Amino acid sequence: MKYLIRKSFKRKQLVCFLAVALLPLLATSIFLTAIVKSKVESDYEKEVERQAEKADAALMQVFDSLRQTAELICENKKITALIDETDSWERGRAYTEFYDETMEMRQYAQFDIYNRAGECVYSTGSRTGKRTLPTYWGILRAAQQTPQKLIFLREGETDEDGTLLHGAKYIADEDGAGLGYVVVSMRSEHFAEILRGVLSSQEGIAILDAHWQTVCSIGTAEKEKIGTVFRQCLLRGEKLPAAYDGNGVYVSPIGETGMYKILLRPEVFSTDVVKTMYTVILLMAGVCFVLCILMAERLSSSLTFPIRRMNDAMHRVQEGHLDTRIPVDRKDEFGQMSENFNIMANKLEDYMERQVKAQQELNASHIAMMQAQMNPHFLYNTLDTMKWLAKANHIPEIATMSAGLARILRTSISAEQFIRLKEELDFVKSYVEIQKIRYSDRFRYEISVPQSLEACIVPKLVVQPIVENAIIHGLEECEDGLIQVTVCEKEETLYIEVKDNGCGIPEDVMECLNSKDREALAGHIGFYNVDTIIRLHYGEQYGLHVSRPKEGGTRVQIALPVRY
Amino acid sequence: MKRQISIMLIFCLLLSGCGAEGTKRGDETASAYQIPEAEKLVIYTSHKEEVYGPIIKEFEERTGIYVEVKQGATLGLFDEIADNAGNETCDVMFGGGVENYVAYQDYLDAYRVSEEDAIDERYRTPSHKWTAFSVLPIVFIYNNKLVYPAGAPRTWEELQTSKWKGKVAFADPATSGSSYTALCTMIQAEGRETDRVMRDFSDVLAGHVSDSSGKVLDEVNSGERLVGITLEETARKRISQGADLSIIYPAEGTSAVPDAAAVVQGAPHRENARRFLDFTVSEDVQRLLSDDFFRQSVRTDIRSEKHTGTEEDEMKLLDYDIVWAAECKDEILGKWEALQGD
Repeated sequence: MKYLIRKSFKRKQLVCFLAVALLPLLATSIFLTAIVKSKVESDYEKEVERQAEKADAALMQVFDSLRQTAELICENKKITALIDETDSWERGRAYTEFYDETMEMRQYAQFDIYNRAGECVYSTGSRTGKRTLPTYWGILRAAQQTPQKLIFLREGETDEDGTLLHGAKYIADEDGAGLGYVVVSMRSEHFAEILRGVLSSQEGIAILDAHWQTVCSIGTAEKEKIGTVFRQCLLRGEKLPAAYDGNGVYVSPIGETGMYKILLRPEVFSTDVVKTMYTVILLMAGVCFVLCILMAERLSSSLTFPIRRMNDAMHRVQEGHLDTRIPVDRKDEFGQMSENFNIMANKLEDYMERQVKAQQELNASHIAMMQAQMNPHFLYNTLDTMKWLAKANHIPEIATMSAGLARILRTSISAEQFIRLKEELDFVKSYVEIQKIRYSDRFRYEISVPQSLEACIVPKLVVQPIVENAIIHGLEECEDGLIQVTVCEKEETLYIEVKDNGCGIPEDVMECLNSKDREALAGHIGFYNVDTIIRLHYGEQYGLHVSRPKEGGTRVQIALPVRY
Repeated sequence: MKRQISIMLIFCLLLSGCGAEGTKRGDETASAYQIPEAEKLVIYTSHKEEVYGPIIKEFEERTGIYVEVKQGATLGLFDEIADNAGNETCDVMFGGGVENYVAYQDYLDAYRVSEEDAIDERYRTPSHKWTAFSVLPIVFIYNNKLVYPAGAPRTWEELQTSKWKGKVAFADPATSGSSYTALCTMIQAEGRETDRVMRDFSDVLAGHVSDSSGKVLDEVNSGERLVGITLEETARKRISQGADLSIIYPAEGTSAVPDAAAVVQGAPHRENARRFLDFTVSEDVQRLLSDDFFRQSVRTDIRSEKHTGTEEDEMKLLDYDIVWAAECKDEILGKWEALQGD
């Protein structure tokens, strides 16, 4: 990844663009969203708090009033004294009192009076017929157990009346003897009446008893059965739900009643809204991304195009196209760079041109020099002509000399370093022929070479200097000299022996030659050269050896490897 | 670089996600409203809600214990108790015939309820593995409009005569537990050969069995059949709802298999479970049973006050052999099926 980015300027630029464009955008939108959310949510929570308080106040007020009313009824002798009354006139009086006492509260509850046996004797309800409640069970028993106050209990079974909550207070006379019970029954319409104006149509409230059993559900809570869900969570020790089916869940106790209420309100930020917000952010980020890509493309091509052009131009120059120039179409740094490149290329071209010119001049002078040298062919041909002229004029010595000289010339000017042994020996023969004429046949010359060795390859001019030495130094004062050249092969080594019968080599010179003392050999350059050539070519075990045979004269042995 | 950006993005999203659930409501209150283990009780019950609802509500109100109820079929619940043995999932099994408690007694804890002396000796068990809750006798019912009291069947034997052929409503004993009990009661009451009783009774039904015990009442009430065999509880309830029916206790006697409750072995809230068991046989609950639930109390000091009206005879009980009924269930049902197939 990093490698990919680094490799291309364009991508590097794109990443920078993205960082600069996207990060602030995302950071801003997310923080803004969070701030807005938290602000709205805290406002919302305050609102919920207010609403909960309002609901509490409404419920508490009704409960308080119910308690007061119940107490008033209990203390109203005109009613309590007539609980077991059967006379309808008397009962009518009691009813009047009963209705007076409950005047204001009848819209919030139904009031009944039960006798000691649990039979309903007075009721503000519209239902007729005999009604009883067990005194050993449920609400009447609870009232009996706690006679001093109005006890509220949830109604478990949904009876025909649809009562959800019972309240009961035990009626006792001054001595504490039981007379009966005041029973308050609240149905869902009563709760709806109490909580009217507290809830909007999108909200709901569930009222739960002290055991988290649902007493009544109003509004959206009715459908959701939130109370049941809540109780199950509590019993199982599970986490209580913060939200339920898109509604926020808010729990609080209802005053000192021991009951609870669960408020359901639509989430201030429903998942949809949050989703939309994030979708918008992501869309914006997407637009930014595309813009970044476009801008990076544009900018980087305006940057990379001249760079690439220059890169290409440099490559062309490297390949030798010195006439490469870059068109200068802008005035910025890239334009200046192109101009500089052009100047540099111009100078380079000039320089190269000058160099070529100088070289050409040098070559011309070389040629002239070469031309100035004597043409060896001319010399050779001249010698040939001389030979024929001599033959025509019957001067054989001149013919021989010019033929020999021509051969020597040809061999010595040939560029080859190695020649066949036969050629070398021919060359020696030509040389000896000329020298014989010079020295008026004062010596003889013998060559003995096996046919098989004639094709051996030897360095050029290794035998001639030795023979020359033998003629010049060995046979100096001899009248009947003999030079013998013998070639033989022993153990892969070629031995060429040059023997003369002259005065013999002086002892000190021979020692010098055999010791290869360079200083001492200064006067014997021919020996030294031959020896050096052979050793350089073939190694130390080859070379020259000088000796003085008993019969007199000098013997020089040239040792060479046998090569073909 | 891009990875870092994406990490940041996710981080921000998480942050804002946390904010959505933070500062309020339901989830926050968890610790405030937590119910301590000592105040919990888990009850498995096969009773209908109209039975267990008021009892558990009253129990909660009197004791302050929070009860979690799981309702289901008797056998299913017992299987669950057996499967979860040692897992401390359930405290009390409430409801279901005593025969089931006998079968699963290995998974139950013995407990002698505090008021055991008040319970009818016939419904006690020496092992104290279970505590009887209510008595459910098998009774005959007849349609008052179509049968004169004098002409109504009085004995099990009578119901096997051709007089009642095609006129008796009886639920399939293979699907209805009470119907199977009724069949066994008939066999045991007769003292006659099992096969013969079944053959005769099968002839009387003439190939007609009701789908459920509820259907028996429907059929008798609608006049489709004249007489039915069903549980007293069901019959009483229907009568209280206005059905014009009468109940007859068979003269030879009838079976009254009690249903029961028991503390489950390894109950996580054993003390509460015991309190609940005490409560189920307490005078108040037993009186409510007989007053409101049309059941008969297992206590000797409570007699149904509603035993008035058309049923003249006092209920006579057979010495019903539960073990035999349980052991021979497959055999008897096999024979029954074969007879129905004829």
